[in-house]
Amino acid sequence: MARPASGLELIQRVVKGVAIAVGGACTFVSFASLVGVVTGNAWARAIAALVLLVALPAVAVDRSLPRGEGERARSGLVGDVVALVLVGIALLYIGIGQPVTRPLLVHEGDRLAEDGRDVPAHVVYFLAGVRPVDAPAIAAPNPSSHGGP
Amino acid sequence: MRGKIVFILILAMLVTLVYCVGTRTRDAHVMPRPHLEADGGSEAGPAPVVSVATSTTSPVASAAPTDASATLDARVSFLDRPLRLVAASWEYAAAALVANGGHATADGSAVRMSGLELAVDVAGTEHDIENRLARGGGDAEGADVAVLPLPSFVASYERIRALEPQVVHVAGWSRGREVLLGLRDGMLARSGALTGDVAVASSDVPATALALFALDEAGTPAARLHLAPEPKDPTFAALARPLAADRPSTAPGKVQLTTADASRLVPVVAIASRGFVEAHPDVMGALLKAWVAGGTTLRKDVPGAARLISNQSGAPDPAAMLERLAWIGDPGAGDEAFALGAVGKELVTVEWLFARDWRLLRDQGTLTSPAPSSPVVTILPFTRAFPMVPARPEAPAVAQPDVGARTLLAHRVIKGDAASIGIEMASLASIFERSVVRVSARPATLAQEAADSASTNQGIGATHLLVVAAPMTDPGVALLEVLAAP
Repeated sequence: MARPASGLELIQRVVKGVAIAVGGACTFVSFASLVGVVTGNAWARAIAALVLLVALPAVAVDRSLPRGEGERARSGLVGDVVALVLVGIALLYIGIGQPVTRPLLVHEGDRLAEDGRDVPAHVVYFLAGVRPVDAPAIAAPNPSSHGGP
Repeated sequence: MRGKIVFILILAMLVTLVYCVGTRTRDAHVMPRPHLEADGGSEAGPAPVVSVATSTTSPVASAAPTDASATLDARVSFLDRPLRLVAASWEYAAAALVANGGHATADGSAVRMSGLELAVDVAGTEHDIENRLARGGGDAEGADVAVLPLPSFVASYERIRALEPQVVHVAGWSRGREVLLGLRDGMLARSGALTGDVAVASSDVPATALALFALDEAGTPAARLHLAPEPKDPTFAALARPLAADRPSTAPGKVQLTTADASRLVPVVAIASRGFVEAHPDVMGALLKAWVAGGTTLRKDVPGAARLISNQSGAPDPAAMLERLAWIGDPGAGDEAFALGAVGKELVTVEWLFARDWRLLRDQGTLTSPAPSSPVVTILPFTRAFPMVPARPEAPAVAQPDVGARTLLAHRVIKGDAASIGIEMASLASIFERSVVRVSARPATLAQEAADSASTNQGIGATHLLVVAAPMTDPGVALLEVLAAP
C-alpha cells in the first residue's frame, strides 16, 4: 500500500501542477506569437505552438531518463522536467525577455482581438505588458488646419 | 534531496515569472476591432470608424506597400483627433511630410500604416510655434509636436517652461545652414586674439548659437559679445543660408566656420510637452517610427521628396527645396539612440548641447534663469518605436590633414590636467566630426596623456587626434586646434 503523501509533498505537487499549467499556457502563447511572424493563420499558429509545446518537454524528458537497464527514474522526475522546461521557456520569453518579445506578443494579442477572441486577447496583452483600450472613432480632420503658413 | 532542490527551483522560477508579469508598467494599447464579415457590418460595435475624407495619395507615399492599406485604412487612430506637428522650416519637416504624404495623411503613407492621423504644418516664426504649442493639438490652430533647431528650443524654453517641453526625437543635424562670417580670414585661429567687446550681427538663433560657441571656444566669452540684427561696425556676422546677395561690401564676408564644419553642434529636434508624451507614449512611438521611415524614403528618392514637399501650399520650389535638404543631415535611428543618450556614453549628446547652449545664451543675456532641473530629453518614445536599437551608421571618415592645414578654431586651456584637457578634446572632436584636433601642451608629455585620455575615457578615435610633440609657446597649459577637413 502506498505511503500517504506528507504535507510538503502535497505542496510540491500543487506547485508543480501550477507550474505546468501556467508555464504551459505561457509557452503556448510564446510559440504562437513566434509562429505569427510567419503566418497569421489561427489554425497554423495553434497547431505549431501545440506541437512545440509537447515536443520540447518530451525531448527533455527523454534526455533526462536513465539509460541503463534496471535503473529506475526518480519518482516525480518526469513532472519535474516538464515543469522546469515549460516555466523556463515562459520565464525567458515572457518574463525576462519581454522588452524584446513585447512587439510579438502584442501582435499576437492583436490577431486574437481581430479574430473576435476578446478574453484570450486580454490575457496575451496582460502577458505582453500593455493595457488594452477600445479603439476610439476618428473625427474627420479639419481641412483648414492642413494649410500652409 | 534532488527533488527538493528541483521544487525550490521551480518555485523560484514561477515566482519570478509572476513578479515580472505582475509588476510591469502597462501602457495603453489600442485593441483592434474584430474583422467584419462581408455582410456583418453590425458587429462593428458602437463606435463606427469614420473614413477620412481629406486623405490624398502622393507620389512618394504611394511607393509604400499598398497591400495592407485596405486593412490599415480600417484601423483607427490612437488619438480621437489628428496629431498635429508644426515645424520651423520646410526642411525640418521634410521627413515627416514624406512619411505623411503631405500636410494631411495620405493613403498608403507610413503614418497611415502606423494607425495615426497626422497634420503637418510649417510656422512662419518662433513665436508662432510657441503659440501653437500653447494652444495644444486639441485646437485646429495648435500643435502637439514642434520641430526646430535645438538653440531655438533653448531660447524659447523660458517662455514655454509651463509645458515642461522635452526633446523626443532628433530629426537631423544642421549641416551648413548656419554660417559665421568675419572681417578677415582665420579670426578664430588665434585663441584670445580678440580684445574688448565684439559686435556680432545676427538675427537667427541657431546662427547666433554657432557664433557664441565658436567665440567662446576661441577665448571671447559670451558676456563680451554685443549681438544685434544690425550693429554698428560688426566684427562678425552670424547668418543663416540662403545668404542675401545684396549685403554691403563693408560687412563681414570671410567665412570662419559653418555648421558643415561643426556638424554635431545644432541638432534639429522634435519637442512635445511632458504631459502629452507621458499620456501617449505609444502615439509618440508610432509617430517616430513612421517619421524615421519617412527619412529613409526621403534619402532613397530625394527628387521625389522635394517634388512632394514643393507641391504643398506655401512650400519653396523643388530646386530651393533640394538646396535646403542638403543643409540637414539625418544619420538615422541608430545614430539618434546615441544622440538622445538612450545607448552608449557619448559626451556630446542633445542634453549636453542643451546645457551648453543654455549657459552661453544666459551669459550673453538672452536667458535670465538657471537651466531647468527637470530632464529636457526623454527616450520614452524612442524606446517605444525602437525596442531593438538599429545599428549605428559608420562615422564620417577623417582624412589626415596636410602640413599646411587651415586652423578653423583654436582653444587655449589655461589650466587643467590630462583628463580635463581630454574632455575638451573629446567635445571638439565630437562636434567637428570630420576634423582632426591637434593638441600641443606644456609640458609636451601632457599632450599625449590628454589624447590618451580622450581616446580611452571618451571613446574618440585616434584618427581624430594629432599630438604635436613641440612644446607650445602660448600662455596656458594646452592649445587645441581644430583643423579644417580637406
